Amino acid sequence: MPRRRRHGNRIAPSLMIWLVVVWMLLWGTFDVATAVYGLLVALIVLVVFPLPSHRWNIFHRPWRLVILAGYVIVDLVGSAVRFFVDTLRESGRVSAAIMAVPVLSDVDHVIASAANVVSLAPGTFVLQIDRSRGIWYVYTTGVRTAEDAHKAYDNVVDMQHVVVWAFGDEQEAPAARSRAEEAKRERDRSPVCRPQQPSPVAAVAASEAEFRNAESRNGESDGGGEAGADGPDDVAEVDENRREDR
Amino acid sequence: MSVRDWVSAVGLISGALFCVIGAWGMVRLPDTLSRLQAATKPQTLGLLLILAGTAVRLEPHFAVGLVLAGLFQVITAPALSQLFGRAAYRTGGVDRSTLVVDELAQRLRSGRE
Amino acid sequence: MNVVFAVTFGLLGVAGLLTMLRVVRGPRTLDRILAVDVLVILIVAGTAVGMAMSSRGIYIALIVVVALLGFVGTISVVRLVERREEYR
Repeated sequence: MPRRRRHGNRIAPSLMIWLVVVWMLLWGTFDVATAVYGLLVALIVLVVFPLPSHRWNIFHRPWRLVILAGYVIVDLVGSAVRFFVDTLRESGRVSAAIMAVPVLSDVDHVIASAANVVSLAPGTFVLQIDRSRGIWYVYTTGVRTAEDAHKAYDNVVDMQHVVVWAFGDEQEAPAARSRAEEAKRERDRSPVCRPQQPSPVAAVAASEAEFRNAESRNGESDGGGEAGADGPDDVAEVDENRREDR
Repeated sequence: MSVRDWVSAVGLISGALFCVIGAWGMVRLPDTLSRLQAATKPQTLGLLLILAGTAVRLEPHFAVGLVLAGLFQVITAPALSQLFGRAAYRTGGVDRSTLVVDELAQRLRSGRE
Repeated sequence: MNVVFAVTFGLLGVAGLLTMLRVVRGPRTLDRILAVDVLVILIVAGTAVGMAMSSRGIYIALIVVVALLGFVGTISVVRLVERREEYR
């Protein structure tokens, strides 16, 4: 393709096709004129806003994509139901965990896609990505016991594995599998991933104080009286609201 | 009612139900992070169902636009919740008494010492 | 089928009211932004139902544009709030 030669790696053909398809869907007409204009717009967009070049071969294996889509839909509905049953049963009291989960891939766009897929399901999302250590911090609701935490952890690892299997290249999928298995084994041994039972009030207060100290932010003290000049109302309201909700 | 009407009715009503449950959760839940869960995800699912319910009643030519809208929603929702969650966590929007384990805080603490 | 539309609109209306409650109550700016974002999605959903009712695809472009604008708007406001609160 001549475009490719002129702009080197900057204009990926698959991205181009995707943009043209979106353009045609937007117009809702499928004729040659629309396609030509779409091609023009896509070219302009790609030249003006260049993306980092990569080998984006998601259409390489369409069957795996279909299976991934099925997996995501099942997970979406399943976890939506689970989340609501849990919320309804506990009448709005939440019990959640933020867990460190190892990342199974080394490729940026695969990590990003996997994070998006994990975040799509209700009750779970990736709070922070520590790229250099290869760790995600995943927030999950409905975690009350160590068993729940382990189940949620395994769920995230499994989902990641499916995404890597669908998006990553040939060498990556088996590597991800072995890493996933290792992660599960590690999880059984590591003391960090074993949450305490729902802690008593005193312990919570202590950890809260500790966290506040670490953060050492002015105007966040628990008394609610001596807030910073910026927003005394805000802080008081927060505390009141919390009490109300219990 | 034809089969198409039934499919449409199921999609519309279940989608609206998801929206209501999500909104209810948003009023009921105690902190920003859990409200985020109740807000964005069920809304996405609800919107998808409603769009599906609408799409079967339109000509295929229009339905394609709805598919696009649904696709955008699926792509943007996780990005939004990630950004939102990070902002909420950093600005103290998380009720720490709801957390049974917080490895990010442990990590942040150990990084500071 | 009219009953279905009425019920759907009713449910969406209830969802909108609940969401408005969160907009009013706050307590944080982020909560309000989140609630407004949900309102945008509910409006999109309502428009879609209206379209199903008339069986005409006149608001397709509106739906796509509002959904995308809602996303962009929310993202930018969230970034703004995050930065403001961090440097406080």
